[in-house]
Amino acid sequence: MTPSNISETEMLVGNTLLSDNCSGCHMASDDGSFSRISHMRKTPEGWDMNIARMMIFHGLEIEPQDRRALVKFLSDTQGLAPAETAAHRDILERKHNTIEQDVDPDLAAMCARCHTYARVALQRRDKAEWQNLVHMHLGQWASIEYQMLSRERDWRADALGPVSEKLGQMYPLKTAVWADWQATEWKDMSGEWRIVGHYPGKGDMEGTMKVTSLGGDNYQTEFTLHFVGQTLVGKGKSIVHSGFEWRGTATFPDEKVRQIWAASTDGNSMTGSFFNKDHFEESMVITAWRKTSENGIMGIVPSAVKVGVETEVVISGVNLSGDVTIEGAKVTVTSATADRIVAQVKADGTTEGDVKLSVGKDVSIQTIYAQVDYLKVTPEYGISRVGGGGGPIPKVKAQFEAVGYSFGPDSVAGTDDDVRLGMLQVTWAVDNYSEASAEMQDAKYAGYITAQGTFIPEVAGPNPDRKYGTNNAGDLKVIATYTDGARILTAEAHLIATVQRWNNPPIM
Amino acid sequence: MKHLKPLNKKAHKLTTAPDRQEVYAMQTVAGCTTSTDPGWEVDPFGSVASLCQPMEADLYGCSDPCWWPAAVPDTVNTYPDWSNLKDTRKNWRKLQAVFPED
Repeated sequence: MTPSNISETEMLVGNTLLSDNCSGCHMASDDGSFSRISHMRKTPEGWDMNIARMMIFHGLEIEPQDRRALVKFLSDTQGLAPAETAAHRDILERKHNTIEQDVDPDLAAMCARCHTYARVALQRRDKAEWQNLVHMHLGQWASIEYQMLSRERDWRADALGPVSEKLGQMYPLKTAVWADWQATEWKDMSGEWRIVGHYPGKGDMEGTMKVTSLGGDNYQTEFTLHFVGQTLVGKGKSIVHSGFEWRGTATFPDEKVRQIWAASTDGNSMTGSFFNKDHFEESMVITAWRKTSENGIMGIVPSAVKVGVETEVVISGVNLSGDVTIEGAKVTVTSATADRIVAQVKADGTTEGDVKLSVGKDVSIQTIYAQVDYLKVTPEYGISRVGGGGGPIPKVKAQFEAVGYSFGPDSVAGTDDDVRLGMLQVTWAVDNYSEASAEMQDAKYAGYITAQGTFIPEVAGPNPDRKYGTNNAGDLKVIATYTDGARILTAEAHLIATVQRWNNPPIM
Repeated sequence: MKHLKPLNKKAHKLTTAPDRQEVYAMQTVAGCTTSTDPGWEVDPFGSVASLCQPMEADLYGCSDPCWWPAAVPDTVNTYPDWSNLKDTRKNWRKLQAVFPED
């Protein structure tokens, strides 16, 4: 059956591409299916990695435009539904320093010891096809059976038996959610959009995006973004795969950026990451809303104001109108449009914690606090990688952020009533994490941290100045210091400044 | 094993050991291997002190047996010519990224 979202012409063109590029090895059946290919579903990145693997393993030669067209066709006809990707978006969106949660320990040892678990969980196959994947791994990487976490078990029997069985049950080819999503009308994304975002350690962004259809789920985009006192204007192109997987590139005066976003099923909002083309770790998390007749408040910056301190607060949203009030605070609006209200806010101290902020009929939350009681550094455990130095692999930086908290009504740290106060301006430092790193002088050689919490690793390659000529790797602690009058608060995180990867596919 | 007889206590223990031990991977940041013998990015102690570094000195020990193929290209099957350099300590800059970008 032809899914309603894909025209007969698109089906014909897609199947011809499959036939032209793949049928030399993948047998075509009378029902129009191809061996292996027709028995799995994947994300756009998953299909792209699949084609890349055919190029590397089997010498497939394919034109870049055909590769892109195949990714589009396969993602649309054999993709994943929004609900099927929800648990693994962080990996798909290249969010740096993600620690995957709730992974079945046996599957972590079997699969996620080499690559992310998301690479597995973002595929759908039946048991026999999962077994084919096991055979591929065994044929391709001969030492797979005697690597750590393999050699302690009968790897082959486990992988082909209970593990393939489990994967076939957890991630089967046919699912009701995919069938339902194929039967749902996929929305056109053209129109005016409002965006808000946050760049860890640096600040908040708000702006607009104009989306114009170019046909075939391709769009032209125009951005006007306000970020930390600057206005950035950029233009780009995007494509939507599987009805909701928004992928885009855009050029701004100082950088090229990429977008990996997911649209909501009604097509009226998107979330995802907005990152530098060459440095996925330079990334902000965004939310975009289509400008419709409804909508309301999207973001308030800063999210927390201190009692007695007059603070400029920016309220971003869509169709904002009416009086601005904040419980327990005096509000003076200095400028107001339907998108953005700027107000001077001074909390009088009659109330603290999360209070009601209203703009006309729209309601959100503003936090009021008397003092920062403690801070946390995120991520608690981060990774950077050496790079450059004349080699082709760029450095991977690590971005840290200090977030303030108040104890809340119970005056105890670390309890449920603690109130998050958002990003704080702090001073940053790195130091050796352990005795071993002090002996190797890691803090001296591994890199430095900027005033905005960006750790810049040192260059790749052996360093003749170091003991054993070792790399500029290091085991470091990252220290944030917050000064509030005479009070000084500190918090720490752990940073592994380590070596590079040479294999950098879109799903790690 | 059925034709081999344990001769000492340790060997005897091996034959009477349970067939399978549960094997669990440690958690680390996505994109890092948890095959930490000794580990590519992170060692078994969550540090870098026990890694083989400089890694350029022992790169063939990583790429030839495809020990961490998701990070370091394996030269057994997939990228046979990848580390075909005379001296990686001097020529490491010639090591290329392998994923064919669109």
